Amino acid sequence: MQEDKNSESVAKHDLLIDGAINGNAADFGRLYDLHVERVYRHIYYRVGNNKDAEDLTQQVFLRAWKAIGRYRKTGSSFLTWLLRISHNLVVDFYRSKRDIAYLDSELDLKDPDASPEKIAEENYDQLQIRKVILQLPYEQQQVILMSFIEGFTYSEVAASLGKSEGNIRVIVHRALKKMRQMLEAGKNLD
Amino acid sequence: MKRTEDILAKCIEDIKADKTTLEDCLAEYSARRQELEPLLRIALIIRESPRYKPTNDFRIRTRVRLMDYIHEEQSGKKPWRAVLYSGVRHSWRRAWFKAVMISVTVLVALSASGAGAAYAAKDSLPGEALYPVKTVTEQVRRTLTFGDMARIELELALAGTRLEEVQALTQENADRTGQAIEGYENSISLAIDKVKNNREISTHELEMIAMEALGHIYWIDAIVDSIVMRERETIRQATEAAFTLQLQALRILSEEEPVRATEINIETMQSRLNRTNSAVDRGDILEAEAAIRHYVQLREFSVEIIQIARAYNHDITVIDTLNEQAASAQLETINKMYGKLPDETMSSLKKAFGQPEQVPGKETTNPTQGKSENNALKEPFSQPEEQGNQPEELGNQPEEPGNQPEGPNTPPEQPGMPPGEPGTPPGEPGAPPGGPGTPPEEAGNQPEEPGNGNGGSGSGKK
Repeated sequence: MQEDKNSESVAKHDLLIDGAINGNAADFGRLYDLHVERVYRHIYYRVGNNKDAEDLTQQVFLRAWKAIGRYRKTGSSFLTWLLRISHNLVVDFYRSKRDIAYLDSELDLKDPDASPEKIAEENYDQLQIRKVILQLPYEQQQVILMSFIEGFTYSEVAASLGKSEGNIRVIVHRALKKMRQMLEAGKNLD
Repeated sequence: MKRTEDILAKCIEDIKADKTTLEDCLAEYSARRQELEPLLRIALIIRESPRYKPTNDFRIRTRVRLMDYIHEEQSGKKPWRAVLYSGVRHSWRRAWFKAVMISVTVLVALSASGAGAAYAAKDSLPGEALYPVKTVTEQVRRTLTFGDMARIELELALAGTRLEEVQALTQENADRTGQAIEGYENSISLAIDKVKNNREISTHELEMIAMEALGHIYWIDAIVDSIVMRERETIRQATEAAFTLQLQALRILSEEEPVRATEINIETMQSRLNRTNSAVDRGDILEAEAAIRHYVQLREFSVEIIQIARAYNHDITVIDTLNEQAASAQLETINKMYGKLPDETMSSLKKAFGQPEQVPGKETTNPTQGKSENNALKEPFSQPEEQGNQPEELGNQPEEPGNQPEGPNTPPEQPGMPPGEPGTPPGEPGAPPGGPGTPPEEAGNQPEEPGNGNGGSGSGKK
């Protein structure tokens, strides 16, 4: 039953993509509704502030609309395609700024109920973690962000990236080991 | 024996789902504790944060802009709103106005007797000796303009001229704005007649008229804000005229493109709420009330759009969704103002959110109400928890002014401009790979680089 629902949902999503490829603005609007949060979240983590995340998210969908004639359903999932556009825009964004100060930009992660000490500790942890995530190889970075930041299940990550769940688990394992090495080395972070 | 990556994945999933704890997991796989513990600790630090969410206001604003862009592009015209958002605001309006004024100047220049006077009169203001020459020149232009859309464009341009005059007069001679306002209302009224009586105007043109009217509303807002209280009432009449024009254009647009009409209506509603909010912040209750009155009117109009859409057999699912999302964002703004507005104003707002749809035989879709009529909003207004929630789903938590969650980003309001911040111009070349974590090349679905994507037929979208 659940599988039926999933395949129905996939079929509907595919119809929206077909519609958008054929120039149907309303279908593209629905795709926007479905994916804007994931795209925003993906970008926000990289740029660390709301204003740039909003600007870039807007650009992602404009670019996606312009390029949708080149999208192939047989390739990666639509969301992965959007995230790739996001990634390229973020790379452009920082290239235009000609520095990597974003690695030090702080994310607003405060729990309003936490003590100041706790907030400071959490912010420090998140800053360190974010630095190492953004230095991972692209595939590992993608999997870690999708699984941990963007709220995908392993099976969704696998489907999006065209890999098996086993592959995703291996990539997560490797990524976490790499992060551990970088955190322990410490020198890459400060 | 399970592989480490499988154990790691299982532990992470179970801990996230609160099915186990870190300690229990490590105890269960004690033989691998040394390897697992640091990896799990890292994994758990990067748990998803609920703060990485766009505001509802942003989602709606961006959707509206995106749809504007697509419709402009599909109609074969330059996506002018995208240009406006890219920071080259006003260019379209200026070009239009300039074209009209050049025509007027040329026309008058052809009549040898009036050439010098007309030129001298072009910057004149009501009450000045040459102003009648200016208005006569405009009347000649009207007479020689053929075609309903051309006349509408002319009237909107002339209405813009009247607003420029009002703006100039408010600096020193605010008491002389009456004639300019009257001229503004006259131009808008002529434009409304043309919109009402001509079914040949394209949907693109209707959108343009509606957005131009919104631009006028912003412009008038700015003028009102720049003058003393006693002169405001006269100028507010111009806002009523601009609203009437916008509603008329949207009414006809709804027959063919109710989703677009809804999007523009939502954008206008949000603009009224933003204005209310800023007026409340500076303690200008009269202005806040005026903006809220328009907001309530627009909420009622959203029901009318649905009725028109149904009458023309359109699927209203998307309209419902848009209205629900918008209501959620609007409640955020309204909640911020709770307690700062007079009771009467709050009552009219509550009525707008609780009023059932008056369509016999149809269920749902009063966009102001949501799906359950039994849970009408009560004081204070309910704040939706998640995007897509119906406003009435959250009941009666007491909220105090000042304790609301952070509201939506309010776009700056500037004279004569559509709402929102400048965005980024579309159509930039794709990003070459590079920088940290650059993605590898992949066959198919490379959106950024021409030539990728299995030969990219570019099929479909025109």
